[in-house]
Amino acid sequence: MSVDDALLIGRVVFLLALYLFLVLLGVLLWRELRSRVSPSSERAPCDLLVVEPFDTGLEVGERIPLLAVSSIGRGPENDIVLNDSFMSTSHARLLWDRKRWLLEDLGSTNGTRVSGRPVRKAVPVKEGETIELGRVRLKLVPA
Amino acid sequence: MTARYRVRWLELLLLVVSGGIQVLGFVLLSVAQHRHLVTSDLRYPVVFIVSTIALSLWLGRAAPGADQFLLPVVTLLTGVGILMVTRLDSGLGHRQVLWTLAGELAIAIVLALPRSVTQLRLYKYTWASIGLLLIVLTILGGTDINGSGYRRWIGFHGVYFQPVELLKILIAVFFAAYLDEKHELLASARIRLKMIRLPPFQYLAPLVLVWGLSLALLVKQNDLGSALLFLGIFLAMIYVGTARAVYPVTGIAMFVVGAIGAFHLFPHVRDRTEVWLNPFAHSSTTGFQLVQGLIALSSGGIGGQGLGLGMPYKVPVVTTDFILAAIGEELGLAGVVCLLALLLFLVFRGLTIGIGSEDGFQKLLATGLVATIAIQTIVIVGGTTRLMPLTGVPLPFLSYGGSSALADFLMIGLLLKISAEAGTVP
Repeated sequence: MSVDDALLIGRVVFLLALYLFLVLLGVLLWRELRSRVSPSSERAPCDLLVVEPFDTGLEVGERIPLLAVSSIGRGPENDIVLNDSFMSTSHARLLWDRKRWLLEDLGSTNGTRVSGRPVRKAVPVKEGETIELGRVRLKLVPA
Repeated sequence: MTARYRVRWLELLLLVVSGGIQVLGFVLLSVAQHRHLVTSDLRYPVVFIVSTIALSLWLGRAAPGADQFLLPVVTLLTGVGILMVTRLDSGLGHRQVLWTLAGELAIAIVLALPRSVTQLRLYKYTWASIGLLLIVLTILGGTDINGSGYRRWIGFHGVYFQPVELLKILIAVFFAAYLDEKHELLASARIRLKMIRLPPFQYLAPLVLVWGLSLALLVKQNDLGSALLFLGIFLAMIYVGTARAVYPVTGIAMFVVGAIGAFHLFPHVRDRTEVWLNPFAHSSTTGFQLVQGLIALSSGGIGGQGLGLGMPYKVPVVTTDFILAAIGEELGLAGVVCLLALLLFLVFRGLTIGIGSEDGFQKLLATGLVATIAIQTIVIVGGTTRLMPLTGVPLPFLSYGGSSALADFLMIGLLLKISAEAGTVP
């Protein structure tokens, strides 16, 4: 094999390798995005502890198990149904973002608060913090 | 923050692959030039790869949570840049390796600093003043090292620095800090003028002042490429900060008016437009560079002539502004498209980092830094391929240029730090 043949093959391999790198980037990115976006149905590492149940029929001190993504509201389609008159049908969503909890308000009428701060966009919630949905108060505790 | 060590496996895997590609490129270049492999030709990629892997291992300690895609992509782009620059002028290649090592050191330092990126906002007027002052000093006491007739470098002991590269980062910091403070005002308050509702232009005054001063200084230096870049950063950041289309639309309209005015006022603007529209009519004079660049690109075809086998040195200033022509000639359209895809990936990743941050200032800063990379690419690739009039800016990570390499690495360092902080905000 002459030097020129070797160079020709090398040239093709070089270009292929560049594109291989792009493909590799794409595959790894896809994997990363999927692990971040699609919530696993696994049991999440926290519970909600009922602090002030009002009309929901729950007991003070009762634990509500959480999913990786839990929708909360008065409507029966929610993962966590809280039937209090101050709740909206779709009130809020609590989700596990790999290393922290995020709470987001879904446009509820009476609002959502974390430790007294109103929630507009998704905000992180730490263990031990109190979540207020309308007038219902819940606390995030380790499972 | 916990000081736990974490090996960044994803980054290391990609770095090793990108290192292999770079070594292969240098092997091909060496064989093409000497008809056999000269192992000492491989010192640049080996030094560069080893230092990058060391940086990755250091990041495992300094910022284990930082994004793992940025560094490998930047490494591959920079590596191909070093390859092409070395192929064109091995002395410049040597210098470029030294500058990128300095850039990697800058990343390591930025990530090791205990302060948050957000603290940059506290001194926003200081940053803007330092940047502008540096340009003034350059105009007064700088050096004109390429004989363009304009002083654009500050030098000491043979090392020359182009302050405009630092200015673009400082300006992005200033814009981000100011817009984060005032974005609600800028987005909501309006002036009523009969039926038309205008945005509150008076709150824009500090922004326009800083931007206008930098523009004036750049025009004084005849650096139209950077002036265009700064306009782009300004409009991109104000749009992202306020989500109101009226700002970019007004800005672009004013730019068009200004460009038409400049066309009639300044003969060199007219010359450039003429060269852009009819390069082949001036192929031996003002259009020489552009025409040579086009010939280089077309002779590359789809697969390129092969590394070290073309004649890209026929293009004037091929190592800096026209590096794309050299890449196009020797790696072909396929190589150019792949490198542009890598730059696009970098922009996409930077915007993802901005979205992931919880701090308004950091979001805007990430946007500004990414916009810098994107607009520079558009301006110089568009100029080289005759999509738009040619104005010289470096192609990020690929062009030869110490200050631009250092500034680009510093921007990546800031993006890495923003991504590292995203998960640690209380």
